[in-house]
Amino acid sequence: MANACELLKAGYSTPCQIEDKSWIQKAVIINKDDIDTITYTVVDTINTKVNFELKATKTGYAVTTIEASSIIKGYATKSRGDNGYPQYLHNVDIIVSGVDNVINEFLQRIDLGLYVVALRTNTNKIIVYGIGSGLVSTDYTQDIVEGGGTYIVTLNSKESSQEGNLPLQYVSATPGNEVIDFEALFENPGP
Amino acid sequence: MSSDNLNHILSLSKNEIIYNAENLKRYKKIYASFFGHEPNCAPCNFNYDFQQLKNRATKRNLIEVKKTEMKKYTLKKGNENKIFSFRNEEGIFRSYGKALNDDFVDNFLVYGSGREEERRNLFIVNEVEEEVKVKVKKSKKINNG
Repeated sequence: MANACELLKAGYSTPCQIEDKSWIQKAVIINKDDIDTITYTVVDTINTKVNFELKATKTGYAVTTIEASSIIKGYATKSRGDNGYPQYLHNVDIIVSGVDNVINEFLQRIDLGLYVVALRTNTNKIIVYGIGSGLVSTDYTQDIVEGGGTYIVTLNSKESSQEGNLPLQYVSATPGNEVIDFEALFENPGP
Repeated sequence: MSSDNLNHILSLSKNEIIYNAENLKRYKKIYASFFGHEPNCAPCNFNYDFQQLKNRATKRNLIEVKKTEMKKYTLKKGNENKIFSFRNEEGIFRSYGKALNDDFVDNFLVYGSGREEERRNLFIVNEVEEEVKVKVKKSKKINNG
């Protein structure tokens, strides 16, 4: 018999009231290199949560837009690699505006770096994208005319190093402090 | 229904209740004791029902409300929504200003980031100052006689 690796252990029913339906319009972008430790909490074999700690004095950076927007969002697409193993392409969309040197500096840093992004659902779950291999920016067009002055930039997994998991839910080292960690941009006050 | 039993159930997560037959049974029983009937499709409407149960229990003062008190320090106004954090050998700790307690502030003042003077400036210390004993020099009586 072939090795199934995992077996289904329970069924699933969608709840009568769907709760996770939108994202708070704030993304916390973290330099992948600033992450010091990553701790995976395995609830039941592949049911995993993640905690991470930044290096001393390092912090994440917030990208926000108005709450009426729904542009800032995360999503993942599953496919299979050549060897048949499942792989997950993590994507995060952010919205920016302008063409001046300030936004250009921000974008060029984004274009040259490797990042992990945390997002917050409307039910206050913190979901982490790219924790395994990081995210890079995809091709975009800096065009302030088409989008009313704004344009969308997508960060996603590199095609060659996609994630082994769907985006993971963040769990704080202090239980219940997930949102405060997110709002504090996961800053490590050091030393 | 004991208060301990209620507090225990209310401290559990959704999954810990729904996917544990014993906890689910206890949850339904407690819910029925408050509302006169068991929840209609407990897993489907869990969040709403659970919140209703919490609200009802709070109104009846049956939940142990954790109070965070600051006796030693008073946070200066305008900092209630500020996030305070420090890192010690046990890890990183964070708290909103409105939820601070004395222990946290003690650690924050020692391990927090930035200049210590700025950190101290966020608080008023309520400690009673030690009485300063003023030495009064007694004038010597001069006996001329």
